[in-house]
Amino acid sequence: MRLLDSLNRGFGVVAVAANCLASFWIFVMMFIIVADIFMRFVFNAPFDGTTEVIQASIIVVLYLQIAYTARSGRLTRSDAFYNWLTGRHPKLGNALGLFFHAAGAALMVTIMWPGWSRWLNAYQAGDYEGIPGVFTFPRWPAYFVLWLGCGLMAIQFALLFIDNVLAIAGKRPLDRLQLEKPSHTAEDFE
Amino acid sequence: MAGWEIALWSVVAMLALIYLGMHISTTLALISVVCVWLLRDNFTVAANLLWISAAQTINQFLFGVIPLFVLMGLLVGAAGMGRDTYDIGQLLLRRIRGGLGMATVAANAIFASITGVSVASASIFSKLSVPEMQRYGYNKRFAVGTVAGSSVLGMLIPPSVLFIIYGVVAEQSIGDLFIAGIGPGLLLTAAYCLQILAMAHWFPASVISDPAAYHRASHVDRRMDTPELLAKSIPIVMLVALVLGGLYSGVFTPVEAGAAGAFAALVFALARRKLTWRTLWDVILETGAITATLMFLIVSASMYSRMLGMSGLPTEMGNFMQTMKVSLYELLAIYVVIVLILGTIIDSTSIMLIMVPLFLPLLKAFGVDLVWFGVITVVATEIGLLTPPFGLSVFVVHSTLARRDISLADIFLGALPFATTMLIVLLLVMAFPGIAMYLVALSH
Repeated sequence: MRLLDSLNRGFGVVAVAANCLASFWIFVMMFIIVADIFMRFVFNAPFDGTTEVIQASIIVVLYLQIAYTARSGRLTRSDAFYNWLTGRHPKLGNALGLFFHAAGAALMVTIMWPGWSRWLNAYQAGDYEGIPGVFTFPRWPAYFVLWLGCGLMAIQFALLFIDNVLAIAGKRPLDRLQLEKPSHTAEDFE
Repeated sequence: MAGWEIALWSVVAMLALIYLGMHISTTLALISVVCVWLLRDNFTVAANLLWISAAQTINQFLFGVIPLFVLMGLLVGAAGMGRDTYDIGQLLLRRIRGGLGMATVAANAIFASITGVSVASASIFSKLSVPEMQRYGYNKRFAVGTVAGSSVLGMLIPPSVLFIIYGVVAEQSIGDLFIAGIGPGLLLTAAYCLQILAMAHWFPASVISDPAAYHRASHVDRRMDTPELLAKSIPIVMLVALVLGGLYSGVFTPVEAGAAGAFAALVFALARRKLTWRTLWDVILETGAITATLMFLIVSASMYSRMLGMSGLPTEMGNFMQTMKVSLYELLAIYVVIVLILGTIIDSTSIMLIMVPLFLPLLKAFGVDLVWFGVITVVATEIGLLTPPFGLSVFVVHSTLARRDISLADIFLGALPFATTMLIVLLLVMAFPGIAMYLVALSH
């Protein structure tokens, strides 16, 4: 139990860090594009490769973020029935949640399975985006992050699965990081 | 079982799982992988389909628009521009009976032209206009209903993340979709204001429940001087000019318009000293959460639409419609009814991603303008933001206010007249395509 608690907290650090990195990268994307616009207008000399870098970035950003999204309960779902069931019959509700999270983990592993050879092939063959001679950007980093991100998501689903098992057994859920506990959301802006 | 039968059952199974509460993205992925496995009797093909959708759906430059417009929307909120639009609306309309309701609608319409996410509008205006309307003795149901109802304008008046997603799925020009949203957006704004006037005239108690408080507050209202009004409206005008002006004059691609808009919003927020490290941190994390949720939905919806393509269900449906001699308007009516029913349970983006791949092939046979269909889809799915038991805008208003004296039922009831008005506007847009398409035709 204590081992699982520290595992969950440790994974929290990884998920939050990956999310911050990716969200920060959205900021960087904004600056790259604005700089590109600026160079085009002022010096008539846009950067080569903006398109390719942004293309590769979008995959990286998404797959670094999804584990945290699942962890913080932000993945879109329609939870009216689920919440009612969990409130009324906790064991039944958690059994349903157990199935949802197991399916999620299985799906992520299904994506990872062909994903490993895909990224290795892209790496060894030197696949790239863009036009040779102008700007090229290798494909393998995005494919590798896809594999990694799905792996993180699979672990996160497994941890949520354990939470469901604990709830059915009448125990408290796994411990989380302190910084995950206060909710900071869009609603606190004004 | 024929391929299309498997797919048809899969749609039923998918809806059942979604209603039970499974995450929508994993539901779509699960259904797709199982169906392809059954269709091809080969798990490797199914796994590879998942990977290809995961890797090659969003690796297009165009998808950069989603994080950038989300970032812009949140920065605009953080810069306090929501409050500005509300102040302007209040200044213009406070003297009319029901004017604060109309001010909320107008402020939402103005704010919608600089933001593309309606969740942001719902949370900002809950905090601004509900307390203000209550100070003026307005009925609390009317106050919360107005905020929830008018927040849908955020996704209808450009820029709009919902139009961006539709444009990506249906392969339509995002610029055209944005222009097509202007007419219906303005119509809905006007219809809301008329509806408020009508309510104030015929059912005054439903708008103002405490006339004494209304008169007291109306006598001590504060005037805004010209410099203040300018300081509040100039940044908004500049942002609209930069983003939409840049997009339509062909200076910016949609991605560049998003980046420029986000950057300008960042500059305004910094110049007004509204951006603390804490707010910036929240904006960054929130951008990440919203973006990842949306893009993961898009990825899983692409798995599902690839599966549908393999199964032949859309073709089969097309043949069926042909033998039944279904007319275009009957088809649209079926579509809208299904969307409205789904809207009571599922959020707008998910409905769009589930329904559009099924209906697009059928509509293409009629030679329908898919930009117009996009507008119909957005308005129809957005009605779902206000209908119980699952109404995202209502939930946001409820959780933002977090007050014991305002229940979810209060907000759903308050939003009901607004949902009805939306339905009327939807029917008008369907009956008179020109409402959406006139400006598009002009721009070509």
